[in-house]
Amino acid sequence: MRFFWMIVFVLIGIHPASAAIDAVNIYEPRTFGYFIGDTLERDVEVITSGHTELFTAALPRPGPLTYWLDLVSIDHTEREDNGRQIYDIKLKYQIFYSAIEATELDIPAFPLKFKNPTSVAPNETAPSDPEEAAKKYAASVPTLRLTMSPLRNLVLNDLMPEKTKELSDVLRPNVQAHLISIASKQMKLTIASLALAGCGVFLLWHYAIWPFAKRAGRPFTQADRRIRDLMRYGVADGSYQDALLVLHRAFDETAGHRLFAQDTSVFMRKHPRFAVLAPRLEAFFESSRLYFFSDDRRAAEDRFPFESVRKLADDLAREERSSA
Amino acid sequence: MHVDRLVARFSEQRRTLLWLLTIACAVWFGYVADDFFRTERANSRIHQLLARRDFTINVRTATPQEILARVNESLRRDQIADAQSTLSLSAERLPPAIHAAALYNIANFRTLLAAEAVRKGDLDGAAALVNLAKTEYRLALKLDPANWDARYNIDVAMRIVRDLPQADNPDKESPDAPKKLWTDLPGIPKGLP
Repeated sequence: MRFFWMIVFVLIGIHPASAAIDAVNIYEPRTFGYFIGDTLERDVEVITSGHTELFTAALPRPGPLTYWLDLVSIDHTEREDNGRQIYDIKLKYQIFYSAIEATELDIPAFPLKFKNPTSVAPNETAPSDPEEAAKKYAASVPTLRLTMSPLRNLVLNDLMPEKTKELSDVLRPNVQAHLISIASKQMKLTIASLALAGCGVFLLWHYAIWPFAKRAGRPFTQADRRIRDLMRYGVADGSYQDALLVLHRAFDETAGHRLFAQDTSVFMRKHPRFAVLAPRLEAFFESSRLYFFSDDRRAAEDRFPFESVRKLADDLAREERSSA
Repeated sequence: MHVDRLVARFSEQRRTLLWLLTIACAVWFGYVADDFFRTERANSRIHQLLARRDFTINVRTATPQEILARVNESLRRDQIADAQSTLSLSAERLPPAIHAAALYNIANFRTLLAAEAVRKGDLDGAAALVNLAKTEYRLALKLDPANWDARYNIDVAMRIVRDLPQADNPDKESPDAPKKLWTDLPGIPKGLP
């Protein structure tokens, strides 16, 4: 677990109204157990009040600080809290020190610079010397002492070329390239193609193309099916009319043209398989004509009730199937 | 009731909805298929390079693993300049871990070259090579601090040529050194109050 040290480093508070730099709090990481290549972060919190501002442009820049230490990044954010400015500075260092044994090294201190042209207490006189003023209102981030640890057991003569051990045996091996895994991509491709195929099937269904096309040549079978559906809704006036119309359309389709009552004999000659149903066919056409072309619908329905229409459709469909 | 209305709406708009869905699926399929076949081709190129064939790749479009394979193959053929140009041309597209791995491999090669130079008695050349290698290891570690092999090898390289404290004469010419833009703090008036 990482623990923090809080150091209240500077507290300048001559007068609350005039205070320039209220506090510099430094949250330090652990100070031991660092190897070469390790990074560490220090958080610095600077609190100022009045007109005093941290001169952020004067903060250190990322880059090498010493031969063994790089400043990787430095970020600062500013926020205001009860009239005080709080600056959060995040410093990230990386260590490049190759230790032979546990060694202590110092991260150098650096000064913080402030813009504070007017932050002098009202009951105080400004220091006449500007150098003195700058010193009085100054703060810095202190040195941090770190303990470095060696990375490996050093046998000092193991690298000399005249010794038995080759350098290539000491060095860690190269990183090898490897093939890119395609399992997940293959999975995605399968899912995408299935989805596309599904969409295609839906479209075919919507447009009733090839597998969803109505089976040709069986108008009576379809009419029978639809009349059964109509019956399910009850024997109301509307559904009786629909049933008649459905059966008429089936006759039309089978004959290839509009079929009227006077055409039944021609129809029989052309389609002899329906001859056994001839009397009922004529009765159907007769009552249909009565139904559609006279005002006496009730009588027509009594002469050829719904049940008979259904039965006729059923028989026609059976004849149609048996001949197919 | 709501469901009924929804179903009614769906059957009204069925054609539009179906076409939209189909177009979306087709676009997705195209994208996935393109990705898949690109990866397949990249894998075949990586395979060629791993089989030690001197296979040229397009540095601008190659995948990170291809770049790494190409760099390794160049190093195996002692073409360190090719390896470096391949890497620097594609550096900004590479993820940090792969970039660090390629730099680490180049640095390893240089360290071994340095050992060879020491054996031949060319100590200055060896020192220069090791210093280059150390710079590359450092770059690799900056990109990927979790690369423990790079940590180990920079430690080895530092044993060959020590890093020396330069605190007394900081390297002012180094382009990496932070530039001092202001010699003094602006904002504090100098002179008479």
